[in-house]
Amino acid sequence: MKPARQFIVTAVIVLLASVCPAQEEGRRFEIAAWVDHFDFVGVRGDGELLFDTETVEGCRGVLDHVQETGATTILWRNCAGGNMRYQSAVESGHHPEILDKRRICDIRPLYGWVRYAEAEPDVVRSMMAECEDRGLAPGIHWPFEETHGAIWTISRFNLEHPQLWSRTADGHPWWGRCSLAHDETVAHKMELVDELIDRGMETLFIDFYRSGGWGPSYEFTPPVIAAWRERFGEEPPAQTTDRWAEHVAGYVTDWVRNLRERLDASGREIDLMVGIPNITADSDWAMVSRGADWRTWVDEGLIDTLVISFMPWDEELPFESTREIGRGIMDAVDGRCRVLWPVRAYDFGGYGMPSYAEATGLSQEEIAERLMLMAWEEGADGISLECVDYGNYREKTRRRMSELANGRCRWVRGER
Amino acid sequence: MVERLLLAMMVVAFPATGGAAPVPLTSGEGDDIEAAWSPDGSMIAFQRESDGDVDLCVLDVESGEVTTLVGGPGHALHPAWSPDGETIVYSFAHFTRTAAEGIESGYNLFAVPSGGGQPRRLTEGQIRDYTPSFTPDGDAIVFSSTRGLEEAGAALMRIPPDGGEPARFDLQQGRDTGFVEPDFSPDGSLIVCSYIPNFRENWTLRLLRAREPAEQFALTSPDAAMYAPAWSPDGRLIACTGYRAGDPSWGIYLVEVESGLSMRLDTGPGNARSPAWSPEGDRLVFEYNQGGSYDLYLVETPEAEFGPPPDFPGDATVLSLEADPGQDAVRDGSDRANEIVLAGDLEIGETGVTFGRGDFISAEAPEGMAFGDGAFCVRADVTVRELTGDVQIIAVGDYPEHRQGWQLFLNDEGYLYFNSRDTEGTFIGARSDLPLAAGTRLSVVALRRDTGRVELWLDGVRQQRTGTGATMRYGEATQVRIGSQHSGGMDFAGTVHALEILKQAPADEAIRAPHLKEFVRR
Repeated sequence: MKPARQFIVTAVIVLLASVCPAQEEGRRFEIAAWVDHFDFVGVRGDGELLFDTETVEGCRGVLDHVQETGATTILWRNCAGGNMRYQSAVESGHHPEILDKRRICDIRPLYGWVRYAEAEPDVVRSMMAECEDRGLAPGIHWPFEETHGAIWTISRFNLEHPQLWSRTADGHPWWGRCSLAHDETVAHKMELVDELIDRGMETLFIDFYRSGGWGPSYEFTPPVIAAWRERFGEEPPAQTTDRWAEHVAGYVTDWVRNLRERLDASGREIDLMVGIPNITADSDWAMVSRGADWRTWVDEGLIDTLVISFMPWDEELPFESTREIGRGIMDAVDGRCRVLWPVRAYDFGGYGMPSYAEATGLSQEEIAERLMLMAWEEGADGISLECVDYGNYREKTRRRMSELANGRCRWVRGER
Repeated sequence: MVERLLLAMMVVAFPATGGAAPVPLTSGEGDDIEAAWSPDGSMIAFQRESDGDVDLCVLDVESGEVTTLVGGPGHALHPAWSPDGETIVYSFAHFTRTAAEGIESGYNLFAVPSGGGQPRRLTEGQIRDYTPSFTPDGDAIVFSSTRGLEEAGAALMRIPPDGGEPARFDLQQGRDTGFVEPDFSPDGSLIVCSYIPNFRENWTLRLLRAREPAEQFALTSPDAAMYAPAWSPDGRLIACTGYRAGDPSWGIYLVEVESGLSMRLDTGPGNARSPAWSPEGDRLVFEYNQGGSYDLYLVETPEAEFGPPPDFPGDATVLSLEADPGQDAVRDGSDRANEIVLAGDLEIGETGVTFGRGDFISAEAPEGMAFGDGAFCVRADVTVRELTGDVQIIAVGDYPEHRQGWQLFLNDEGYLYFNSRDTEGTFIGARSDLPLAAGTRLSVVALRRDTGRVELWLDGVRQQRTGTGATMRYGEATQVRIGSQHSGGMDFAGTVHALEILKQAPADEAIRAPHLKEFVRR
């Protein structure tokens, strides 16, 4: 090649190289939609089933609906309480509950769950692949619970291992969940993680709002008490204290470390995302009520994404206080992991869009727009949508969010 | 400590070889569970899981041969024999389509001839009917069902043996309240079932009077999980699945009906569940997962001698009121012999002390009330004459640390409370399940355990709402007052028939046993 031509080619390559990376460096503003496909079964007033969630075709319809929000990441619910919605080798399925008489039955007709545990179609595997095909990030929404606050969802593992059950301060066993202080409990959960990795999950989202009522006050188990005595040289407190919660949080953190290692061991880049409710930069609420020491997880680089499940904003200044709290969390994280802000259709525990509507009189689409823009303006990495059940985000809201997701909020602010 | 000793005495470990080691009756990969012994003892019905389906099978006890009575697609669950041994009733469902395409039915009861034949439908509907059981005379089938419930739960229903419109037992139902797996006493007068009041509690065993099922008694405490009860042929014992804190796994428990005392059979490592008695009561069949999946195992019934139930620890009594109508006086009959002061116009009779407005009894600076952070107990027999709509204090412990150190009182709605306090002085209370009824004599045991748990027992039944974290340290009391607040007011409108204060918490069985025996024998 002649020098002049070589120079031109080199110049073109350099020019292209300088342009293309800029395009790739621009990060999409993430719209992470939590999807509980079971709730798409919902019976309308006339009794008609809206989606056949026991078929792949029906679940594609669910995904179509979810995508109307502009979602980029789909966090598909893998379980109902402790029962898996696929054929698990290590855990009970979302069968009719009377197969184990220790569960108290739901009273709803047997719709939408009969076949979740059958080998084919494996709804979770199918939908991970479907997301991939559609260019969406396929993930799993896994509540940090085993029970979902109802007896009919207690898992077989919990039912079969009373010796691992949590206990109250006075030693009362509670069958709602098995303690993370037992290696067997952690090992069981890791087996479930393996099943999800095998099904193509690229994001594992652990939801600490849905704890099934568990908290440090249920962790007065023999190994936790023994460790307390060794650590502090005294008897444990008669009820939960901040120090006890911090002690229990160590076990939850160990479990998060296990998750991190397990995901990394897959050889794939699987994101670990955690959702913390009622969070502010300096509040210990999550530690005391859930044993969730999110600051340590950020410090140690255990998590890829922190999801603000909801913030305790001030009803006198709904948006201003939301912005201030969110900004504080962003400062605390300081870029060490991604942060998603909430645009939350649900109002469990308050602070969702229904509460904003009550405080401001604004419509859902107006609130969603403000919250989405606020997150983007503050440099958040995206938003999370709890939960995109059928119609939770109204048609106008979905349309407005999609416009923003593909327009002004397409990229993370300042990164393109 | 005493409680722990009692517990250790009650949990008798039977070496598997003490009588004979458990003998496997079935084997294979699928679970064989829910055994039910035929009335003549020759056969055992059970359910066998295989590839997602559940078949109904019978085992010939002598030959070991297994015959499938109801096989193929679907779930055939919870077999129960008719008393004449001719029929097996079970719960069944089969879903051929997805829900959106149309579910045909829920889990309904069916009957099949025990020698084989065509199943016959007994109930219908998109509901869950399960765990059926025949009355001893065979006139009815009682079962659990979601039928007609407005929240998740399981009610008890009754149908004629040939089917018909189910009639629901009139029982208190709430979210996640379950009455499951009923079983009749041999004389048919009582039903035992697994009971759970809500999501936060454990399964316990509950007795119901067959003629009046709303009349109930809690046979076991929620401190332990107990379910799957089966009444022994002689009516003395109930076998069940149980787990107590410290147990290695689920195990088979035997519970003495008249005392509530229990013992665990040592069946070896693994879960042992859902026992069923042979007709003679000399053997138990149960499901056991020592080999991975559950198989049926047989064991000889061990001797089950419990001795008398424990009593209240009399030497721990620090105040015991004794009415002396002849002298128009009230004395402390405990070893402390605390001085008792009477105020107002008390009626002191043979059956106790009746309080009117402004009346009270007080033990000033009584000895023995310095409980520290340990256990104590207030035991009282009372009749509330009138629910006044105001707070009524039955007894209050007045301490320098807190003038309402502990209290036994009725609130303005008539609920009975017992409260102690935590180290910050915060009220930690236990409450009666229902408001009290005026005019009814009631046996009350209110206690704080050394764990800091506060409990309230009425007529031998622990009330569901308890408190934890009550660890206030009690020094010497300023006074114990009965019939009003420490400084007057909040008068009690009723009679105190007896009242004791103990510096110790009695064992559950000591509280429960006298009332349980009376309930069973009534």
